[in-house]
Amino acid sequence: MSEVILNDQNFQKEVLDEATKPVLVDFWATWCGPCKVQGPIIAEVASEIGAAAKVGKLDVDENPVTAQAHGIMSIPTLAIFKGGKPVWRISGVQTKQAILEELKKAM
Amino acid sequence: MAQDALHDVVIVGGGAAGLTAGLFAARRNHEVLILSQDIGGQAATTPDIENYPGVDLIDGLELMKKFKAQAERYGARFQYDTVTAVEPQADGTHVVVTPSQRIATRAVILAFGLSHRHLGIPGEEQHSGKGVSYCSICEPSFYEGKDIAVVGGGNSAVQAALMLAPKAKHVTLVNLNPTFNAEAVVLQRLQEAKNITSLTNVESKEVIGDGTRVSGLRVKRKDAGDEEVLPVERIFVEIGYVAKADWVKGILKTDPRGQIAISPNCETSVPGIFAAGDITTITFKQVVISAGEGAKAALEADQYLLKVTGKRGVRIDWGAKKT
Repeated sequence: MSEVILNDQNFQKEVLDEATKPVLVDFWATWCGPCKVQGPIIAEVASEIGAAAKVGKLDVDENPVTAQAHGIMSIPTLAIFKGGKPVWRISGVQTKQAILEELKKAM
Repeated sequence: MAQDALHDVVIVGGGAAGLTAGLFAARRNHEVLILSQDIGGQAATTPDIENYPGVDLIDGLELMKKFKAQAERYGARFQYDTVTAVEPQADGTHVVVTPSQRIATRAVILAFGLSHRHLGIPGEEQHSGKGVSYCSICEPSFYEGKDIAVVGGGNSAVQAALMLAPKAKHVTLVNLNPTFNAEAVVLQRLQEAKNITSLTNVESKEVIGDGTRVSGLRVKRKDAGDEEVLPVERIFVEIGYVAKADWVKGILKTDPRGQIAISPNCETSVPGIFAAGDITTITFKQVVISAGEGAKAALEADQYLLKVTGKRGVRIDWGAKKT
């Protein structure tokens, strides 16, 4: 499944109101080098996990309300939400295996 | 666990060394698989590369994407994967182990680079990404006007302090050593900076916070013995890089810093296993050097493969196989 572009307007509906699937959120920004390294890895995670989970990206500069509400202090930060609650969160570039493992745990 | 056919060369790491090794091994008509956790390693997270010959100024990731595309053009395959072990076999081949695969290969080139060094103090891991960061260029712009500590005494620490200072309320540079070990031009800028306080001979002891936010850094002056808390909301750790090659110890010879010992032509202590770039004992860690080392490792692996397979090789590396 392709990634969902998240913003301050749709974060509630797409992430917090998602009742069944875990949602992986990639907090990133266009100027951030490590985020650009993380980007293609997230794309592979999205295609590999298919319909079993939702994968979204949120640009923290464009959407500071959501980024600050979730205390994003360093990017890339990845978080998994389940039933509207954060169940996993980590900063710095992560491997495909590590992300898939955490998503599977959250299913 | 799946195990497919015998590969010619499996390269572990997709930075400057690994991707160049992929290019050179593929151009020698070897079948090449590159396994890496990311594209480009450390170089990819460097915003401006100004010292790669022939290229005036380029974003690190863009340069590394060019390396990757060039290797792939000659047939090297790239796969996101995490290697957990390399197992030499009785018949002289090797098995590269990932969480989902056992990959058999005649030759291995290890080029997985270095990782950020952590302080290893209480509170650090707990607040990673929650105020403690190893990447000063990863700070979102909406957090301005904060009190910041940068820990370290090298070029990268001083540069981080200089970069963060204009938007920070105040920056404290915390250096364990008596002097800063940075380029003269960088030190000059540090002296001219208005809102940076430099502390030397000061040891970082504990990150203080509530698990969601950092509120301070407890430090100790080495000469006075007094401890104090710097009231900072962000701590940037810039104390260099460290070899995380524990999984090859016991198989390959490493130096006391954990770096893989190599011959001048990138051979390790085990025939058929080669190593290149920052993870090895070479002194200087630069993109151009890693690229050269990757080429050397691939050419040495080529010699090795010709010997073990009894084939005659392509002796020249120009004009061959354009796709």
